[in-house]
Formats: sequence, C-alpha cells, structure tokens
Amino acid sequence: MDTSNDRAGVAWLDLLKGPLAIFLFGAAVYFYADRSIDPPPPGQLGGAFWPKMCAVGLAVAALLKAVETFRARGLPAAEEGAACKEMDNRKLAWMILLIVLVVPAVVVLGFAVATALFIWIFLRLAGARGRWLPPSVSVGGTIFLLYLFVKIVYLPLPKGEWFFEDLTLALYRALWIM
Amino acid sequence: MSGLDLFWVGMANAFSPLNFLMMLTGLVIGVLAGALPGITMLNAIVLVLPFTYSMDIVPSLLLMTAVYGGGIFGGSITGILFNIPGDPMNVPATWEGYALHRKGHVAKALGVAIMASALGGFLSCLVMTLVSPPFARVALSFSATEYFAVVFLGLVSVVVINTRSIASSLVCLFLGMLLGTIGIDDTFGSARFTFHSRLLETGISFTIVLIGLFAIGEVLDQLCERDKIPDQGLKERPKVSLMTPKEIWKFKGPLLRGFGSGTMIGMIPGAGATVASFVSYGIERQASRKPEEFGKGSWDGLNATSSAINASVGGAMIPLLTLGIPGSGATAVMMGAFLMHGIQPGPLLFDKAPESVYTVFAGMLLCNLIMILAGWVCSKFFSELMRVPETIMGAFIIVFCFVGAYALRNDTSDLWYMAFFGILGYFMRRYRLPIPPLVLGIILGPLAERYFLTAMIASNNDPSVFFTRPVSAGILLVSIGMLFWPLLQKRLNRRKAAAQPAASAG
Repeated sequence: MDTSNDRAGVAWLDLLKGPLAIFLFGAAVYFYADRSIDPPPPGQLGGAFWPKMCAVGLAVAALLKAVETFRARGLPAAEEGAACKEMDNRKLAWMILLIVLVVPAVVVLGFAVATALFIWIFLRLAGARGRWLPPSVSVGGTIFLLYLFVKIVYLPLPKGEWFFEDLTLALYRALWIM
Repeated sequence: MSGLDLFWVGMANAFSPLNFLMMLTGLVIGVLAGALPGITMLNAIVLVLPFTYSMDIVPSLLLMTAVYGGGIFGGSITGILFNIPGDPMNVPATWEGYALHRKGHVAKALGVAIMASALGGFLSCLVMTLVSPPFARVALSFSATEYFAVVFLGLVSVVVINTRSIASSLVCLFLGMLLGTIGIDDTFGSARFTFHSRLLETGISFTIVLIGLFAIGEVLDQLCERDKIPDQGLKERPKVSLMTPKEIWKFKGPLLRGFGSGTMIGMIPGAGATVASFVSYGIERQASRKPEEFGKGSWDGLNATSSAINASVGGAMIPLLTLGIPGSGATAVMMGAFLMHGIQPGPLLFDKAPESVYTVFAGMLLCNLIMILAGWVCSKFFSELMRVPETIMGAFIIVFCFVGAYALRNDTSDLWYMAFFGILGYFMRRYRLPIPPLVLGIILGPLAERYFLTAMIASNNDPSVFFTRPVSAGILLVSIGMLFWPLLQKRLNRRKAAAQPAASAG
C-alpha cells in the first residue's frame, strides 16, 4: 500500500478545503439569490443581478485562491506575514461570550446596569490587577458615560425592562441627569 | 469689483469677531464629533443647523463648513490612536496611521494627518475660489456612467491594498459586496437575503461593520495574547509632532496627488470624501517609490489619503455654490441653510451676493489654517487617553463601539451586528484574512450597484455605454490597468531577476 500518496492527498484536501468551502458558499448564494429574489421587470436586470454577480465573483476568487494555495504548497507560510500569535483560547472564549451577552443585557437591564457589569467582568477577565480597580472603574466609567451621552448629547440610551427601567430612571434622578 | 477685490473684502469679513468665532467653534465641534465613533461629521452638521436659524447666512455657512472640514479630519485621530476610524473616509488613514502608531511613530503620524489634511483642504479651497465655475460645468455633464467608473476605480484599489494575496483580497471584497446587498434593493425594491427578518430588511450599516471589524477585533487580539502581562499604559506623555517645512517638501508628491484626486472627486456630486480617500490611496500605492510599505505603515499613503479627504471639501462646495447642486450629505444640509435664509445657491449667487460668497471662500481658506491648531489641541486631548492601561482602554473602546452602533438608529438590534462583526474581525485577523477589502466592498458595493443599474436602465441594458463616453472609458481603462499592474510588475521583476545573474555571469 502506498501510504505516502494517501497522506499527500489528505494534505492537499486540507490545504484546499477553505477555498472549496468559499466556492460552494458562492455557488449556494447564486442559486439562493436566483430563486428567492423577485424576478426582474421585463427588459431589466432586476434586483437579483448584482448579488448573483457578486456570488460569481466570490466563487471565481475562491478558485483563484485554490490555485494560489496549490502553487504555494511546500513553500514556507509566508503569505500573510508572520505566524499567528499564540492566543489564550479560554480567555478569548469568555471575552467573546461576554461581548455576545452584553447585547441582551443592554435590552433587559438597561445601558447603565449592563455597562457597569460589563466593564467590571471585562476588567477581571482581561487581567486588571487590584481589588478596587474593576468596581471603581466600572461605576465611575458608567456615570461618566451617562453624563456624556444622556445629559450632554441627549442620546436616549436603553433604560431596560420591568424593574430595571425604574432602576435606571431612579439612577438618572439621583445623578441629576433628568 | 474684480474677483481679487472681492476676495480681500471677503477676507476682511472672515476676520470679524463673530465669523472668526464661528469658524473656531465649528472646527472644535467637527474634530471632536468626527473623532467619536457613532457621531459622524454629518450628525454634527445637522446638530449645529438649528443654532444657525437666528444667524446671518455667512456665519451660518462658516460654522457649517468648519464642522464639515474638522469632522472629516477628526476621524483620523481615533483611527491612528485606537484603530477606530470615526467615519468611512478615515479608513485608509487608519490602515497606515495605526500601523505607524504600532511602530512607535504615533506623534508624527498624528502630526502628518493634521498637516496633510490642512494642506489638502487649503489648496482645494484655493482651487474652489479660482476655478469653480468651469469645473462645475464639467461635473454637471457627469452621469451614472461616470459615477460608476469612479466607484469602480475605488473598488479596484483593493488590488493595490494587499498585493501579498490578490485572491484573498478578492474573496473578502466580494464577501463585503455581498453583505452590502442585504436588505431592500434601492432600484427595484426587492427584498434580498432578508429571511423575513426586520433586522435584515433595514440592511447593514457600514459604520457598524467598520467599527466592529476594526475596533472590537483589535481589542480581542491585543488582550487575549497568551502570556501577555496587561500593561499599565504609557508612562510618558504622548506628543503630537507637526510636519516641518522640510518634511512637507519631502512629501510634496503624495500631498499634491492626494489634493488633486480629492478635489476632482469631491466635485463629482455623490462621490464624496469616502471615494476620494480610497481612490487617492490606490493612486498613491501605484505612484509611491515604496509600495511595499502600504498597509504596514506608509507615510506616503497617510499623506495622500489625509490630503484627499479634506481636499474633497473644497471640491464638494464647487457644485453647491456655482450650480446649486449638493455633492454630498454635508453640502445638502448647507443647501438647506441657504434656502432657510431665502437664498438660492447657483450661478446667480455670484451676482446677487458676491461679498457673501467670497467671505465663505476666504473663511474656508482660513479654516484650514486654524484646523492645524484645533487638530493639534484635540489630538493632544485624545493622546492623553493613551496613558490609560490597555485593559481599561479595551473595556471603554468596546462600550463606545456599542454606543456608536446604537446611536446610528437608536435601535438595539444594531448591537447584534456590532457583536457579530467584532467577533468576525477578530477571526479575520487570526486567520490572516485582509479586513480592508471587506470594508471597501460594503461601502462601495452598493454605490457601484446603484450607478451601474441606473446607467444600464438609461442605455437600455447596453454595456458599451461605459466605453463610449470618454470620461467613463478613460477612468475604466485606468482601473483595468491598475488591476493588471501587479501581475505585470511581478513578471517584469522576474525577468529582471533572471537577467541579472546572466549579466553578472557575462
């Protein structure tokens, strides 16, 4: 059995799977646009023309990428500069989760409470040292942002829902923001 | 009175205390608004409009033009310092300015951005003063065909942005253009990729995309690096180092090319500072003696694009003042101010109120000089923030990004976009995918589509229209040349390299 050929085949596929996935995505978008977007008025290009053209462009660019990757096989990975930085994946996952969670938190808890909590947790995750630093920065920073955006710029920041709306309003009154 | 006499009268009027105060106030408001993500230059002009109700037309216009010029430049400050471009037109300045900052040249990068913007703006105002009527007539003859050609030139600049992998750039460009098609189509009113979701029907704001991709991605990248000890901020006070006359002379080429392209593109109604910034950046990449530095911190690129964005201000004022056609959102608001005061801008304005027109000309020239001071003060203020530890700065940058996204439409659903593009920005960095082409695709893609479809409808779907009109054909040929230039250059270099050993052996 020629295992070296098999291995080379697997390595090939591994190299080309990214461009191949993009090519398939481009093709899928083309067919989806063709079926889902309203047909064009007689004698005109219609709303589907441009997305379909972009999808074709994407698929062609993916093929070019595949050719480029194939031609560069065996060469050191010089394409986009230096190698990737070593990342702390656990910290990264927590940070991403925090950024995603802040969106529903702003809607439900309101900007003031959600921001204070976000800054506090973010500083802890990011490795800010000192016992009093995260709470003081989160409370002080939130008050500063409330003054800047609500009092000075008149931006109606989300106040939250249920109990939290009353809490935000009470906070605004206590800070003489309204 | 001759034009020169009128100019001196205008200059004397511009120095009157009220007019001067309006220029100074407008510049500070503009620079600060431009620098804060989510508060755009256009927002700032709209916000100052109610204050002009009780004023005379000249101080009103000076206030608004100062906000316009200052706002266009302001976004470069946060771009250079924090990788957050205030407005889309500041994106190329952010690419180069932030890279220079990372190399330790933050003071000089800020100084270059200030001086190049002021010089570009000043020269374009001179052009506006001297040659507005004939240039405006040429711009008036432009149709959707020419606009498409100009936007196409901007899109082609993607090739010159990242020459390391043209294929990667094209993949990201087309992805960006596809993202730009989400929502209700402008021309035919069809819903595209909306999946019956209200969130998707309104489309994706490019401001959210660029803030998310650049700022949140950068914060995650910086803070999640393994074994990195969180820093305590800069110990020394960051400075702003303005360009010396010698340095201005050294960069005369990029400055003049940026000024030229910015003024010309500014004059085309609808093109504006964003197209000017990308096109000038692309042109400079071709003209520069150090093209390999682009994207890694190029002084030529920063000079050209900074000069171009402010040069577009003078250019955009030409069709407004001479023909009564607003060339951009900002000049449309100014047109509103004219009409509010019962004045119709256009050729008759030069006959009816020549002193007012020349006061605005002189005031705009002065504004660009005062902008050096206003830009320096505001840059110093923002530079102070660099002393804040990275962790605290990161938290506040993310909060500012969310506020900026929300402020665009007062809609919390935009926060989901912000989170999505922030995380996407991080992964694009991690997997070395170029972000600028994606941004370029989202910003210029919808513009290209609109002009392309309008031109096609007007010509009964005859694509030869793009090559039968001389201006459009010229710009498209230049674009095609730019597209194939890197390939040609590679071939030439290979031939040169092959010829060298042969020559040395001989």
